[in-house]
Amino acid sequence: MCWLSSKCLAQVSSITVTGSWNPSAAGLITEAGLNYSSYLTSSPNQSLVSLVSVKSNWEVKVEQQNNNWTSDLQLWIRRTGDGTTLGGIGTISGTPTYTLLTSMPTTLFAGTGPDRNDIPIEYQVRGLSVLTPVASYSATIVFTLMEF
Amino acid sequence: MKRIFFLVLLGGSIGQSVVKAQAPNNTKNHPVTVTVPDVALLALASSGSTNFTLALNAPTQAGEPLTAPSTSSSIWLNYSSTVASSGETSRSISAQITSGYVPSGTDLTVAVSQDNGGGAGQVGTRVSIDPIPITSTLSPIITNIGSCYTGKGTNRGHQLTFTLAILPGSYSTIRYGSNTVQVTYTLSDI
Repeated sequence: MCWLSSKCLAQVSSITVTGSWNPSAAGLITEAGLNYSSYLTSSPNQSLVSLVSVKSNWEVKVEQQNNNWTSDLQLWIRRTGDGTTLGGIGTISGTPTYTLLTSMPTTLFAGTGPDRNDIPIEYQVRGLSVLTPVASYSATIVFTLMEF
Repeated sequence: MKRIFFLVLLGGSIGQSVVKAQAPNNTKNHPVTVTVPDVALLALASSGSTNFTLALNAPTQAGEPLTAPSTSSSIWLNYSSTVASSGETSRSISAQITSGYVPSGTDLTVAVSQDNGGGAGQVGTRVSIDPIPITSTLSPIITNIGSCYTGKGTNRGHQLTFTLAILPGSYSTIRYGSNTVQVTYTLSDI
């Protein structure tokens, strides 16, 4: 019966992702003879994900598409907060621990309700070593909203 | 009543066609770019100071020569290096005297050990198993350094053994006194 309501035009599912991340390992080694000892970690809200769902249940899947990447490095991702809803309706679930990104879509989080806004996302790069050749390595992170 | 019903039905039809025209926008992406920098770090490690003294000791009995050679093995070379996959893909370490001078009638050499195995990657190779003269001219002592790290501290990287010896046939030019020599090491692209 949506055609009887003004909501009819708003009921289009969508997902938006703001922010990007371009870290550098410059200066992380301060003493000769040592290797990198830590991971590269973004800010806890490096990206913000917002979504509108026309169905009661939804989930967001993530995958990594490699442009100029190296197998030395692993890209990890996690949700660091719940975000907000316009009407306070709905839930969000999914462990906030890090998930390894691969070329296969993996569920990052799931929820219910018509919308969820500004879900904070944090990234981490592991595997960095002085043995990794000098270069800039790039990948694309794909977020997909699935509804059911 | 029939006319009103007809209008409502028409409005519903328009609304449905608008919803179908707005395709779901269910995928978004953004780039991540990680920069791995050029790393070229070199340090000297010693259990104490990296300053040391080499001395030719005086004989205790008349007619005997100065006691030589004098050696010190207290210094280790540690380094971390990341090279590119093309272009400048290896580095070397050179040594030279940058201040002071070696006393006349003597020579200063350094013997370089192979890497002690405390790190990983393409560590360098010593130029020679034999001692290398240390002079005011820049001389390679370790080459073929790729992306690697040696570990930090003593017993990591390459041990340097310095020797002060009497030059054969030059005993008459030896003069007593004390000289300070500064040796500088340089890690550079080949």
